[in-house]
Amino acid sequence: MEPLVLSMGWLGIFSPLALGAIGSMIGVGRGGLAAAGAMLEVEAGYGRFVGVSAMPSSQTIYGIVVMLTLNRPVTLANSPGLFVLGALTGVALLVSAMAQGSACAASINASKSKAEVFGISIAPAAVIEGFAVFVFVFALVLAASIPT
Amino acid sequence: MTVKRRYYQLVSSLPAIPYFRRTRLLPLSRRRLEERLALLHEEDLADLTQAEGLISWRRQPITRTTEEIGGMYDELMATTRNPALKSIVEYRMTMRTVLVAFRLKHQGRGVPSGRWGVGPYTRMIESRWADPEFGLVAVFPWIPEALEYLNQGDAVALESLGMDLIWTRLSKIADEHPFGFEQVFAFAFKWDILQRWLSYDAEKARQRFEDLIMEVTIDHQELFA
Repeated sequence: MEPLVLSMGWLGIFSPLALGAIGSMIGVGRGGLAAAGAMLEVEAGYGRFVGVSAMPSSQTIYGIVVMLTLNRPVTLANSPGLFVLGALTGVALLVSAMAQGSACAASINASKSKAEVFGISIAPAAVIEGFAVFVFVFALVLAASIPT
Repeated sequence: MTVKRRYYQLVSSLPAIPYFRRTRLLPLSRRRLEERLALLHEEDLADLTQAEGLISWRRQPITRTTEEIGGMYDELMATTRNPALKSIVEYRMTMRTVLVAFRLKHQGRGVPSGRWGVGPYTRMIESRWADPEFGLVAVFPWIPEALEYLNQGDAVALESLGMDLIWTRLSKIADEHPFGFEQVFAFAFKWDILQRWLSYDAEKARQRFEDLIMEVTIDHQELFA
């Protein structure tokens, strides 16, 4: 039983980065495909499409920071806390990156034929980013209360 | 099991398609459209090609018999995997069936026998032949308007009504499935409607194009006079 509990602690430490990175890959993939498609339709302004498609990268950065904050000697006392906090943060980052990728793809699709909506069309993706930031910040706050 | 494929690149490579009554130009050529559709998964492309062969506004050979159309419809409904594609094919074919029934009745013919239409309402139409609207107004609210055009002999208005109904349904399907196969086939069918609509008015379009060229040329001459 003891090794299992300790393994869960390690799982919790690495989950924010692993799941956040998986989400970023999927999200950037969605945005990148949309950007590549839009490039076939427009004559200029390719850079902004690529920039928007890279937005879901931030979840990996949040994951790195949360992982480093959670990183400590794993004991039976702190393992459950590390697992719950790390795993839930990871899932939240994964889902937010995927959703943000879809929002970025929609933004690219809308702005390719109507350049004037470019700014406002990114707003939903920015709101999704806000939720990821909430998870990130409060994961850091709660990590301080897990025993070392 | 239906596989939900997403076509981020393909959908983003398609231009915005304007409502058919408000435009005079196709947003892209058929060749370019087919190049883009080549990005579809082979199963989806096969389903789309099969559906286009049946409900396209421009690919209906006059020699095709009702039996052949019925056979194609049955095959498509049995093999197509996408429920939204099935629903739009059924809607379009049912609409054609209802209009065929109205035309037959308009010509003073009796209840048709054999296979004369497709879809779920053929038996109901036969059984309620005496009813001026076959008792279908609750299901198809467009019937009174269609009958009016039919009685007036206004074939273009009737065609336009059918196109508008299909267009609206395609827009709804596309909105419900962002970046899905549904958005792709909705575009392809809308392109087809638009192409057909513009072909009615090719002569006017040519005249307008020449007028625009003339305007631009005159402006250009004045600018550099």
